[in-house]
Amino acid sequence: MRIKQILIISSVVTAAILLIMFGYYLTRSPQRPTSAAIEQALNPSGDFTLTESSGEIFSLKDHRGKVVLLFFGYTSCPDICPMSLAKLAKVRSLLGAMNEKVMTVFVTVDPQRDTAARLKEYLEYFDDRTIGLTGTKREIDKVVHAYKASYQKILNNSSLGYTINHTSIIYLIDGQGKVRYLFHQDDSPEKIASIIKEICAGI
Amino acid sequence: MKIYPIFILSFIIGLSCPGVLFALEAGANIIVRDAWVRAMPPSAKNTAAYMTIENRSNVDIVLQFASTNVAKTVEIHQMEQVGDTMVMRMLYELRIPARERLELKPNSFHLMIISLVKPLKEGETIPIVLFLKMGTA
Repeated sequence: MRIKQILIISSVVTAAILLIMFGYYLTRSPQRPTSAAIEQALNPSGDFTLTESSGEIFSLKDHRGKVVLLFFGYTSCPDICPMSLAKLAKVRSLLGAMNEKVMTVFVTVDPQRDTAARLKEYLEYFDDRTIGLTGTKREIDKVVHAYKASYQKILNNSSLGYTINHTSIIYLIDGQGKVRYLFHQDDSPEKIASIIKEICAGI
Repeated sequence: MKIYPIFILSFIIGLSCPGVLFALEAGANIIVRDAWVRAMPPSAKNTAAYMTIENRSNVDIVLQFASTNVAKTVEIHQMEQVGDTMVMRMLYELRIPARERLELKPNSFHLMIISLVKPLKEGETIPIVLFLKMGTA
């Protein structure tokens, strides 16, 4: 009788402890980012070349040691691009001293309308640290393709003439030029900042 | 089916504040509230307006057209997330069913304000006129 009671009690206690440990494991956050297969396939060379709005040439490999937040868009975008830019400005405000190690890079997929001057003025409005990149359609398409992003220029009856549908992912590239994380629309500035801090700690 | 156009004259949209409750004189059948316009860089030629349109009548209401004196054109657009791509398409009308409300908000419907005649300043208020068509019950 006594032994049976002891056995029952100890197995219940053990089960409870295991459940609590499992529950803790499930709720642990943030997830440690790893170079998963998807990210590793994105621009493994860790380099690309485009032109800054200042006219200077920009090569990703010249910026080793910096964490780069890269995304594609265009200045006539009504919704997503202003929101992403505002979000990244917020992210940078959460990073404090770590901002020195971080670069935000915006590549236009509308070089026809987004002149260097327009790009600079647009980006400065949200955060004057953001680097705007443009180039020929071929140069830009090469980078878009390398990061497996996409965009479509849609001619329509709108007074806009055409609109551009584009992927809205923000790529986190680490100090070695490797893509480490893909941020989506619903990722909060706080989450992005905390993942950047983890990556920076590893630089 | 009798259809008559209704003009809503100058409802005011605040650029940075939540907006104004506006009631149509004809028994407050349509209410537009929480209207705002996105502040953009000075060189931007276009921006977007968002609001909630409440249809308190017993008939469907269709937004067919809008205009403003601060820009050449206003169009109705819808943003939709398809995978990781944001798709934008122009709509020719926006239907607000009877007794329902429709939210124009980011990543969804918005009024695209195209070819601004002058840059808009934060805190500024601009008039937008909505042209609505009412159906019968």
